[in-house]
Amino acid sequence: MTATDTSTEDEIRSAANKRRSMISRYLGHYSLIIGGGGLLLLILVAVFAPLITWHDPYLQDLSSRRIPPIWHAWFYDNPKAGWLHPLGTDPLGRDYFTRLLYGARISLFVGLAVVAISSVIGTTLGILAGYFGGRVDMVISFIVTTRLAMPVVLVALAIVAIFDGSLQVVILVLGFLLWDRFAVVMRSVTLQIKHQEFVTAAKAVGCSNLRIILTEILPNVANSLIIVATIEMAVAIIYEASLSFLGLGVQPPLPSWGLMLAEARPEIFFASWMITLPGIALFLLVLFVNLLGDGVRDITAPEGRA
Amino acid sequence: MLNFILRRAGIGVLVLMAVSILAFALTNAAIDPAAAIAGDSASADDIQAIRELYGFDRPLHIQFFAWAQDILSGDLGQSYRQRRPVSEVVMERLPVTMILGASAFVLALVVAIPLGILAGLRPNSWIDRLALGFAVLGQAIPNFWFALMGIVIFSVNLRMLPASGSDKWQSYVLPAIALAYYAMPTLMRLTRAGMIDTLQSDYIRTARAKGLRPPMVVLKHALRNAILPLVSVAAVQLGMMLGGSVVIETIFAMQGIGYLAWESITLSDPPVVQAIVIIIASFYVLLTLLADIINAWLDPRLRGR
Repeated sequence: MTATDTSTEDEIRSAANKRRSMISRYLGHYSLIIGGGGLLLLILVAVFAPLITWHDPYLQDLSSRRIPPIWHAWFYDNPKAGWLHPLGTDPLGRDYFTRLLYGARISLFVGLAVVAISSVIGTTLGILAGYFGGRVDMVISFIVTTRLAMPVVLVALAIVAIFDGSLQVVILVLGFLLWDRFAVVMRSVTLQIKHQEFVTAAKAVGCSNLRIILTEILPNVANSLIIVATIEMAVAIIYEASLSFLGLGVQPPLPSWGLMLAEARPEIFFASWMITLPGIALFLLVLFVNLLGDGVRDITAPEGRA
Repeated sequence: MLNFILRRAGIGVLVLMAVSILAFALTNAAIDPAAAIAGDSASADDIQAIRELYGFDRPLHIQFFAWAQDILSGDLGQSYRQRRPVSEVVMERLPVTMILGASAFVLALVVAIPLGILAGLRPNSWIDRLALGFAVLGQAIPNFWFALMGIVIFSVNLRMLPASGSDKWQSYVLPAIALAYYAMPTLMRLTRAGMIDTLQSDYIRTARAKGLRPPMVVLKHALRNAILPLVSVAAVQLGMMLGGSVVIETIFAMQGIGYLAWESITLSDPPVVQAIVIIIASFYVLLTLLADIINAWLDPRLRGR
């Protein structure tokens, strides 16, 4: 009797310990906290942009062009800088802070939409290749190799040039180009789990391949899927900015950060803050997304920590 | 071994064929090349004349085979804009991209591998944390913005390096750094992970137990195995540098094929774009083939696959 008592007590204690260690693991991972928190903050900022700023991101005002940011009033005694435009204005007199806020919407939307497309394509191909193996694997691996041999920026630029740049075209082009990592990772993860007992059991019971893939394989690749999704979201955000910067992405007057960098480029000799600010915004967003992915990886696969 | 090489080379040729079909379809099926050559002010008759002159009135698959045949015999076609052979246009521009890619690649390796070794020797030490911190931060900086900031600091403020062009060696400094730093985090992490892995293996313990000096153990015994996984990734990175130089070359107005590609896309000159896509894809295929061969040579177990 006492023996069972202590054993249940032990179990309870170990369960509590386990829970505590789970929580401390979550809290202990700065990358998850900083990444997740920062990303959440940026999403909130993007969604509630009209409540945070009182300016219109598209309103041009030629009488207040190239106003420097507020710190120019503090450090350089520049009388033009003021709290009306805390981060200054661009060459067309549009409020820079406002455009940066609205720019977060574009980057976040592009990142999420591209990942939505590419994850479906890549995961389907990867799981099919890993699960069926043989000829299917050969064909899909060939498709992946072909895709990898094509220079993404160049192909994306060429396609966008043909269909004329717009947000939708950029998202579609990147979505149909950036699925390779999903395919490669999903294939290897599927290869690892397809010989495990629960898959064999499902086969023995007579489940169809489709059902095994949907109910046995898919839930078990979800962790890797999330990690790859964060990587590809960051990549997609940078590519959108690069394409827009080169003039073959999102078109004016949309406040894409890449486009803002392109518009600020002629100002490089006079107003370098116009180049610094959108870059910092891009850097922070990509950093948060990457940190979130690192954090998820640390928690779900501690052995993969490197 | 020969069998292995031939099989890999065969796949490479098939990949290149697939890429060229896609490159052809991409530019020829989607836009009317005759209208592109004729320009905006051309009449319908002009366009029709050009269509017949260049053979654009033939069925697409016949055009493709004619085009593929030309490419195989080394003829990349005529540039619509510059009115001279594409191969001439591209060859003029290739050296700049080669020098840029090679110097960026060497720079990336020279920084990333020693840093990765140091970090891997003492996991969780301050140098490891510093290196990983740099990797995390570095990976989040878009390289075209890095390049722009380089111009702001070193060209505009300090006036040390040129902001554009590719005629002096100084012109290569900023672009090479901008291309290289982006590959560094990946290479550094791989070296570090490989180092940590191999240092725990039995033969390293044996080497240490024999009383070999630690630098000897690290450099001669551990490093060789630690950087095995690096070979294929480094090959892919070099391929990406040649392809990814589009943005960097355009920012610095360097006369390489990346800038040429951007110019040709904005001026709608499909033959040049097709040629550059195929050239970059060929580099990628060659480099991965080379990496496969080096890996199989270093590790005979891989040859069977």
